[in-house]
Amino acid sequence: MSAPRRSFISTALVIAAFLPWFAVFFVPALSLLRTGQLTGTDWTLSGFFAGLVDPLLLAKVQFTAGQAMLSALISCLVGLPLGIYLRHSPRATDWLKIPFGVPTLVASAAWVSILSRTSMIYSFEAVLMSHVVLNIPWVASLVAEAAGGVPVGWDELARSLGARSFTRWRTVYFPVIAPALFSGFSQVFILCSMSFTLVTLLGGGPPVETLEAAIFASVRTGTLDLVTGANLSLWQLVLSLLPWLALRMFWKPIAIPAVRPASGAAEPRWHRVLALAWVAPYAVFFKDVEPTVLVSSKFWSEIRDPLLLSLGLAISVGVLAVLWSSLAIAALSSMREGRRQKVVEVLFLLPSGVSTLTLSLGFWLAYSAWIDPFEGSIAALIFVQALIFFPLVFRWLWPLARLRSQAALDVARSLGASPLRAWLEVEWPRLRQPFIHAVALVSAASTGELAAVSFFSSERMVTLPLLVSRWLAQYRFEYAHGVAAILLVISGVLTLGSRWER
Amino acid sequence: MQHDDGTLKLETFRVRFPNLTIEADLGVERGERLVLSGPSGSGKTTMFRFLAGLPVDGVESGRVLLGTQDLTEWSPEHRGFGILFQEAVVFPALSVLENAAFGLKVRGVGPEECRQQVMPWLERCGLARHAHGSATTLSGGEKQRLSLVRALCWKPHALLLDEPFSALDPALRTEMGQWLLELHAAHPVPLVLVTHDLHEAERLGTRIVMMENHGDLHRWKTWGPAKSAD
Repeated sequence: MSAPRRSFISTALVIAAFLPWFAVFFVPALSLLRTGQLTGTDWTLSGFFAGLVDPLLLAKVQFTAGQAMLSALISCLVGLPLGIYLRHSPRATDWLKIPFGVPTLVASAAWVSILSRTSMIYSFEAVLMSHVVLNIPWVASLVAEAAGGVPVGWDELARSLGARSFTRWRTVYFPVIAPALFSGFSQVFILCSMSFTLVTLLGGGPPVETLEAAIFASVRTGTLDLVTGANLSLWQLVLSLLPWLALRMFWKPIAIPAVRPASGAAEPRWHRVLALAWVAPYAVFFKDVEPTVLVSSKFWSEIRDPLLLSLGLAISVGVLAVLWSSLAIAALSSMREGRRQKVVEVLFLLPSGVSTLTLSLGFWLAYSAWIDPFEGSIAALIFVQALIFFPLVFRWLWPLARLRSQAALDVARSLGASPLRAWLEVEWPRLRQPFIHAVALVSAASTGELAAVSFFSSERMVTLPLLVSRWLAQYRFEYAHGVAAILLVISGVLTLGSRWER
Repeated sequence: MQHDDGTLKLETFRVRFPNLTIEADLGVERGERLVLSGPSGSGKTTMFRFLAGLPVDGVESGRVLLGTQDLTEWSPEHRGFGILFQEAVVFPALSVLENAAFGLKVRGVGPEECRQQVMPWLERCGLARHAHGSATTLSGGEKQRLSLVRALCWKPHALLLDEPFSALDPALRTEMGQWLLELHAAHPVPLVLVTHDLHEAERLGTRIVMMENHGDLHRWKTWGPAKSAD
């Protein structure tokens, strides 16, 4: 293929991949900025800053940042020693990620169930504890993967040169663990600052109200206050994007040879028990779920439509997010490695630093001529959820896709295969399983997503997470737990089923 | 496709690197084994990729001809050249037999006919017993033998090899060289071998092309008389 043709195809792919990014992320973000500057019918810069530094709004910012900082700090304080302890147990490290497969809504409902037995329910402590328990295994898995990746030879070399235990930790392990810990801290901070479901269900309303909950309150409950909603969203953008940018700029993982260090001993079973202990709180469902509810026809008739809607939504979001990621991957693959490719990669990842409600509000403001959230919009739900999950899928699949064997593709083409056929014969067998797994994971995550659903749902359009949220608020715990258990089963079947290979 | 005498030619080839320009005019006749031998950075692989139709940067001019047919604008899949790289490349999702038959399969040959055509080649190279196993389980030498069979069994118009044995140990290199001579004798197409090993060049080539250094300009020209291909 000639150079100009390659360049044309590359440009076309980049444009095609950026079109949805522009429409679903950039335009909504711009709309937020514009609406946040409005005072009456005009907008001014002074009005913009006055809106942003409103004391009530700043109190929400302070609370959100404070609880996120505290959650991240405690998660790291516990996750660091746990990760170091499990560093030579790759399977246990893998199991630490299981709690992240539990939909947030299900986890939140579990905590409601547990804490309703105590006086902690509907308090700041309840939010903090659930955030911390949810995020400790994530930090621990990052630390364990980093520390476990250090080749045994490095430690032995330092020892042979006379380094004592503390010096070896400082010079061999710490430089590898520190970026992972920094990454864990930033990620937990971002997640907790964007937390909506946990805060809504466990916080009990003001004063335990984060920016996300306040955005929702300003738009969907009480009076419709778009300017405050937009200003809250701008602060939310700042809070979540700053650590994200810091992470991108300062997190430079140390290149470690692709060899697993020999642990020298079998992985103790105790390690796996320790890793699995973090899902124990969610077992509360199976205690609280009323079997009579699950077999009652009334229950099933009430959940039938939401179940069908949730499943349809989940599959659509899963497929769209993966298709979009594939387009982005194709665009990046067609580019030369270098600064331009890196910039495009960062732009694709940018939405991961933006909360669901911020995106939802921006989307509504940008397309208010066509979308009325009070009427419900399945298209808006699909697009917003696909955008939320797109960076996750992209971040997972892009490193796999870039491991392509160019030599194998060249050989296949020299043997007579067209570029598409060469890719299908050589690359697709390697990528098929991760792609299917990505669709399943996104679909599973979508079934438990509440933030966008709360924004774009209506009385005629209710999904399972919304049903759980409503029933919890109405103290219909047995029904809420029944639906949460069904959500848990759906996400379990999707994530485990996609791992099955013939 | 008619290619007259089937001679592979590289004409008026000129590629510019930041501090270096490389020029070449080469011709390889049917049954001839032309060896490009020179130090690293002398443009051997660039010429190889240009001949194969693979993307190359900095090329200012050049034509690839097979007989009288100009292939310069043809994509790799239409040139009909078998190629081998330094690293043995196998398609991990395919069995040994499927790997070897890949070139036939993409030309629409049915599975049974593929098997009939490929098995004698695999037997000749000692790979028949692995035919239905995964290609990824083969050793480095076996993978390179498989690559050689795969490049030849669909009867390409030319064979291009870019340091195909340099990753192997000396004993295996000698053995692989022998395989190459045998298989090429069975299918005597123009063969271009890139290597920096002069002993290998002497042993495997019927003609060796060395690089002439003129300051910033490196020119490739034939060195020594052509040996008999037999």
